[in-house]
Amino acid sequence: MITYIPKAIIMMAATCMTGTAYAATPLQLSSDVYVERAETSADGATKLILEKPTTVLPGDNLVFVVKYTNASNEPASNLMVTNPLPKPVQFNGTADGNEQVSVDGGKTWGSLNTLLVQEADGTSRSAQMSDVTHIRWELSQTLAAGSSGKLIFRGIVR
Amino acid sequence: MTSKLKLLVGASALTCSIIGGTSAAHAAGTDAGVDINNTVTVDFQVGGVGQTQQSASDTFQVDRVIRFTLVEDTTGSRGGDSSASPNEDDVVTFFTLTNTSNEAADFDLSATETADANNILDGTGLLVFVESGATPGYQAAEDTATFVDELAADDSVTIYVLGDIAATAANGQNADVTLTATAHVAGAAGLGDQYSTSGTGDALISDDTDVNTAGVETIFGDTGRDGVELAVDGYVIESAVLSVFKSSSVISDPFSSANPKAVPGAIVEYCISVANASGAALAESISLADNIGGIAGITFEPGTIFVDATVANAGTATQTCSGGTAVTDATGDDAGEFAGGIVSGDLSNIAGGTTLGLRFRVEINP
Repeated sequence: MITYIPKAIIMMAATCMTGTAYAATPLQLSSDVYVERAETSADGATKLILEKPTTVLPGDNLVFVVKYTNASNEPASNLMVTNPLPKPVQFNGTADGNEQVSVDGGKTWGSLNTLLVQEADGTSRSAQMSDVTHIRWELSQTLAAGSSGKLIFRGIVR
Repeated sequence: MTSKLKLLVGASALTCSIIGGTSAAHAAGTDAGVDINNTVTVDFQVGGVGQTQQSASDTFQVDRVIRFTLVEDTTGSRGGDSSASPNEDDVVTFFTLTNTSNEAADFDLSATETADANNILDGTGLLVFVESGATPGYQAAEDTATFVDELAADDSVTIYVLGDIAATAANGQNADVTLTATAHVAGAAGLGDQYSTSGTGDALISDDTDVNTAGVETIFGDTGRDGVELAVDGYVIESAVLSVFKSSSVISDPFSSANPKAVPGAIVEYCISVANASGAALAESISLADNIGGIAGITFEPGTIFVDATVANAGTATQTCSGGTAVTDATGDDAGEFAGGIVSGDLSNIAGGTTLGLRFRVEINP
């Protein structure tokens, strides 16, 4: 088993480059973000489209897509994907609903409805989406050699 | 580049109710130019052995949205048309400009007369000033800026438009003024370049189709998406409409016990009424003067001047005055006097639809 140390992860995150795949490492990871827009067609129907973040404004809906691929010849197991939320982004749910979240900077984890937020006056209240600081997925399934997967979550630009 | 959204519809329905609870830093949202850097890490094992953690990240910048509102200031007495008197200068109308951009902005201001059928504005032009914040309300010495410099995101400022009223303006007439605010680039001293979609020397609005994740683009988010907002306020003339009527009645004569006649030795009371028409503005500082010195055959009866008298049947042949406040005949001690053959008196303020009178008595020379 590996030990999860939040501080170390944050340090690494700061030093890593965008979307880089390391040939020497067996697991490849990429992170992409899209802006969700409602587009009204000529017949009046509204459809949602995802586009690259060309123009991003407060209140825009974002879709983050994390892709992972096992590039080695052996199965990978005990995958834990951790994504600290950028400060200007409010969490707005995941596609699969299997995530754990943290509302205290990655110290404690759980599903959102089990977490409490400590108020300044000592009282505590149920955590809300706007309190989420980190998201992570613990994948129980082994990732076979050559196979890949995708995790998706939503956010709103504060 | 777009891709259709299929996977996320379920998640969307699940989370919509929470959006209202967003605790954004401020209403205008994340500042323009802020990096949104998303980093994801993965821990994993191969063959039961922990491997080096992998990470990936993605960065883009929050763009600039120029949006603002300009409305008539409706707080308290500032709401509605500003009341003005004929010939009054620098009558103030009030507007509120709010910057809801996610960045500070400058605003150019201009005011025009937009509806003035009776030409109640005297044609000398409107002046526009910005509240300095030192003292609330328009202060000629303080509020001298003619454009809005560096209005921070989410901040509001009061704008004053000053107009001069023509002497010919009549009670109830009104005029509209339209204030126009145009967004300009903040940051430097003075008014920055104007934000626009075209125009030499302007700060251009970005093409929506540019793929530019690193830079900060600018778009309009205001009504009409043009960086220009208008608001209308107005003036209404509220002046006093006074009418004066003088009547006389014989109080007594030396011979009759009833129905006195205007015979020599009789006492006659003059009643001068001042009526302010219904709906007119309060009339203030009303002074009456009646030169009786030139009238042959009568003599002022000392100690008979009353101001603020109650008037019955005002403006008609049967008008009479009664009551009121007694004043002395001496000069300078109170609101009335008799000097140089002139009876004079000052009346209290007269509201629209009410009447006050001045009364005094003379003797028909015996």
